[in-house]
Amino acid sequence: MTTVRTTGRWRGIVAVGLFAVAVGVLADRPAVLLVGAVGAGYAAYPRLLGPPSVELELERRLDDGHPARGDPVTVTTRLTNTGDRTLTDVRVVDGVPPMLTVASASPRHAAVLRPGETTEYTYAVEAEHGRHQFDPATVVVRDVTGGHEVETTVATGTEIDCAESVPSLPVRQQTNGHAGRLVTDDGGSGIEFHAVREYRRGDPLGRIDSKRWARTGELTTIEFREERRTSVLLLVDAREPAYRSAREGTPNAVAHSLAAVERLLATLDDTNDFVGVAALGREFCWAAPGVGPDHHADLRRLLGTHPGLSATPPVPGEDGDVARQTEMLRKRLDTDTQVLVCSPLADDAIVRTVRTLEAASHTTTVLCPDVTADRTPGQRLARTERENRIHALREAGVPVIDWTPTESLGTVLLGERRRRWSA
Amino acid sequence: MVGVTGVDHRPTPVASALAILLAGVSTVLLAPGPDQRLAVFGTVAGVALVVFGDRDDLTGEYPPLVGQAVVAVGAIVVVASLSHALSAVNEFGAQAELVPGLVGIVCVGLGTRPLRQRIARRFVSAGLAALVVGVVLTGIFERAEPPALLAATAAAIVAWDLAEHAISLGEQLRADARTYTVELVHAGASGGYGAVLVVGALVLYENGGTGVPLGALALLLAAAVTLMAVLYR
Repeated sequence: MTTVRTTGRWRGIVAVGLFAVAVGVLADRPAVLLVGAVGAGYAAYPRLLGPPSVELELERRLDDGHPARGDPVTVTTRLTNTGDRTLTDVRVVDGVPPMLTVASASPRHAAVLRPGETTEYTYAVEAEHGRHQFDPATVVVRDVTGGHEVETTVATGTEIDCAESVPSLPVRQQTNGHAGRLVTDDGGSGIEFHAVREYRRGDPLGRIDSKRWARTGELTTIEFREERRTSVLLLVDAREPAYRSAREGTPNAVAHSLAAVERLLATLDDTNDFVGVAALGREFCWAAPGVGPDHHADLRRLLGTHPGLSATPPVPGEDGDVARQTEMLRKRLDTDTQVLVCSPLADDAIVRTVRTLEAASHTTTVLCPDVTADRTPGQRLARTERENRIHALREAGVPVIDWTPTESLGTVLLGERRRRWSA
Repeated sequence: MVGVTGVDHRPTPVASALAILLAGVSTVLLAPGPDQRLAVFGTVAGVALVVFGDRDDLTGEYPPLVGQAVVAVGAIVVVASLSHALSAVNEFGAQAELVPGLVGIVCVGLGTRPLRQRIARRFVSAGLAALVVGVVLTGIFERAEPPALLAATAAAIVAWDLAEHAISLGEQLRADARTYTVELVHAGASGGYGAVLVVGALVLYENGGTGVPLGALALLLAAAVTLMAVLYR
């Protein structure tokens, strides 16, 4: 995406020229008239050059791609002018991942670049849990007069992976019949003892309780708890109301939700649970539940690139119709897929969505990052409204995980698991 | 080092300093008397103290009180220089060429400090206007030769250009980014173009302009400037 603008910064100099010419004529002073010539010369200055042609390449290096939480990661960004013209005013703002804060130095830089020349600068970011993709760097190139400005983005794929082990996905008792890791209340083959029942024809020989048969001559079959796999859809609320943050400069709830989804995906990498991703917002985003490393890579790509999940909030009114998107989601969901909704619960529409899904017999759980504050009456009202919505959902039988993003997601989920509603 | 918590969008230092310096040069070119010079040097020094005195990104870490004291000293120096300009320079013509220039220097300084982020550009533009008024008044009273007038105009315009550049760099990249190469190249280009303009105008004035009546020349120049204005639409 490249925009070419005229900045118009020299426009006012025309007035200097006209003023000097007018005074020179009225006062009959040739020297003052001459001053007008300098003014006119500067007014024509930006016309001498056209907008610069920008061809740039970006390279980004990290001193540690897999840091621990809180570690500073040094980022070295190199920008090369691959065109054949000298760029006299190149301004770069590197695309620091929205969840990370800059710890030292500046991700912003300016340079003069001759053809083939490279400029390099370093800064440090503080690692946070999760997988963080760098956004494309924004580059503004002005010609030497400053009259024309070209704004463009230069991308290179870089990511910081700060692993956090989330113990398990917060799933409820609903399975799709395939073997997996979710321990169910259904008897069958497995590891954990479940029940003993009367022998039926066709039961496998190995499951016959041979000791009891030897003792009493009665045929019984031992049943174990069946371990099945689940199918989960991770639904991100990326509508305009969800782009809220506790303070200016802190990540918004959508960034927190995306980070949580990334972490949950990483947990699911080792299992054979079906997982899909969907988002409500500017555009309906959908990736059907699937399994396997390729599918996971596709999901990650979708999370990083889908326009509906951009780090910049949509303008009010840009959002699609939530009810329609919910309907599309409901139609596409298999009956045995359960839904984990990541939402700050910032308005009632998302509560209706959750209730619709739950009513359509999709087991639904809500992960609610807390981005409320209590400095102003409005903020306190928003906090109370959020608490009311959480309460209403819990009343309706939907478990809500209240997550304060300063806490580790893993700790919160472990705490919730101890409360026994999750597997 | 600028704290990470406070976002610093102040104009970048190198171009700001050059802008204040050039505003001073523009005024000195018009007002070469010893008392006038003293007033200009005093104003430039005082404005520099006001602009850079409490910038912790340049001066290193010392208590904020020290920075405020430096700014206060700068303000006192500016006021003293202005009162010196008004009291020691008695002739009306000498004041007319000096005072607008001093006001211009102060305005450019307040724009690059900046007094208020949102009106920084207005201050700088007001500074340019004051400097140009000084040039025109000097020209009306015929107190300087054409070379000085032209050079003073070019210096004033370049001072405005650099101050605006500093503000735009500060807005887009913040003051903690390394920007001095871009600032110096921009200053060199604008200054060099100014020198070419001044020399070109002087050559035309000395050689070609003598035979042409003033009215015809004025008409020609007015036409050229109007053309420029129309082209900008």
